[in-house]
Amino acid sequence: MKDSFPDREMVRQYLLGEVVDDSEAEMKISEQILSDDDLSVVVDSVEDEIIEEYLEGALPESERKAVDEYFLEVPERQQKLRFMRLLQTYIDGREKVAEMSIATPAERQKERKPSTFTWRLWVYGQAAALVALCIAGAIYVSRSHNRQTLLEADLTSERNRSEQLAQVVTELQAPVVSLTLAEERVRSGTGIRHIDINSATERISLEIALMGHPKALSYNVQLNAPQSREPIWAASVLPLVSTAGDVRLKLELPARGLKAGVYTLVVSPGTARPGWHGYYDFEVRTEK
Amino acid sequence: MAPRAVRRIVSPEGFGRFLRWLSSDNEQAVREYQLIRRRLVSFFIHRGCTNSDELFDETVDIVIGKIDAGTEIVTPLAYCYGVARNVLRTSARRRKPVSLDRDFVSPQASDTETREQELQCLESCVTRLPADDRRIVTSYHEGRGREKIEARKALAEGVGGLNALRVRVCRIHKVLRLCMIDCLNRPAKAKSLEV
Repeated sequence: MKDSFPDREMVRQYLLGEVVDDSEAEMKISEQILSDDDLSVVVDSVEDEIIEEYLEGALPESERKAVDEYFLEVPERQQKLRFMRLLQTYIDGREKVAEMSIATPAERQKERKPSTFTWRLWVYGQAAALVALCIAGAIYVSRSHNRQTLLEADLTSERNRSEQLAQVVTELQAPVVSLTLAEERVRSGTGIRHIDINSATERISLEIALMGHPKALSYNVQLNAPQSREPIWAASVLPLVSTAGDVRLKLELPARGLKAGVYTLVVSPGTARPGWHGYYDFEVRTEK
Repeated sequence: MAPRAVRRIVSPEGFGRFLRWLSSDNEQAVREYQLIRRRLVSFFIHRGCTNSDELFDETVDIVIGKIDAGTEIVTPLAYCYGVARNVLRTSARRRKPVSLDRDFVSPQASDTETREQELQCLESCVTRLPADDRRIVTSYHEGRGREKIEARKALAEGVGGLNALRVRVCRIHKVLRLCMIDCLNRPAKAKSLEV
């Protein structure tokens, strides 16, 4: 601690509101804290100390009153107090565990060694407990036997229900499949993107990366059926443009009714007279 | 509980003028602003103010008014501090007496699950401390009465005295508090993965 710093007792009084506002001492401490980060940490540590003593009940009455009425008014200090309480609980818990593990064998033996009376009580108690356990066991076995038949019937019914549920779950699975298209028509016919759809598939989440085309405010997208130039679905889509200028289109196609085959998405700018067309092929494979 | 006053918010234009006044360089202005903010908020907290953020905003509002009026200001931090003192005085006059019906010492009536979660987070945070800090903070809080005092004295010898130890522990507390906030704010799934 620097020599010019106020001592911890003065800081303590300052924090407890016991230094009169606008007094020379108060102004000096305030200004020092403001201009010196090191002192600010010292002040924080005094604050911790006050909270710790408050929790331990070690504060004199006047200071405890000041903490209640002034110091803990500040929400930040209330949070500190909650934290310190939690930390103390944690440390106390650790200590208990440590005490149990470091006790010497003799100490543990001493703790365990019962008196004659306790020993007898322990033996008779165990015998009584054993008898009670036997009776309870007999009743339990008898009742279990009766219940077993009922349980088996329940189990069969539960199995049937589980199978039905598994069927429903399968049908509900994956209502959306994703597809990303970045390359235009693959003329060689190889490397074409494909998706697998089944009876549960409802939509195809589609992302098209447009490359090498002039940008437009909106784009028309149409889906052509296999071996056809007739659109079976069309939409106008607003583009997503990255800060680097890359254009992407994100849309969802209805999957119901699509059959296996190679489909073509035709993209064109959403102007009255489209100047270019992009063709994106993908293959739909159907699963049962 | 008394209703709280509506939170003052510095207008974007005013805030912009304040930043430009601090420095013509944007990054430098933000750094200066953060420094002034940190110190004045601490000042208000140390003076027992429950609304330190609001009082800081009030201070900045007044300073902006002075800048607009063409007041010559040489040292921003010192000037802001002067204004902050006046704001504090005004605030103290507005402050109402505090009721004594609270009980800060007793543990809060938080549910067991929350408590358990907090303790798990704390354990995880303590585990992540550097070994030396972990040893210091646990030894610092262990024991009771005389035993605790002696343990702290022994611990202090290794770190340069009792005051140095207190400051070190205070810094560790701060690290743990921030870690706790982070841990408690994380989604439940991430937390259980970590544990």
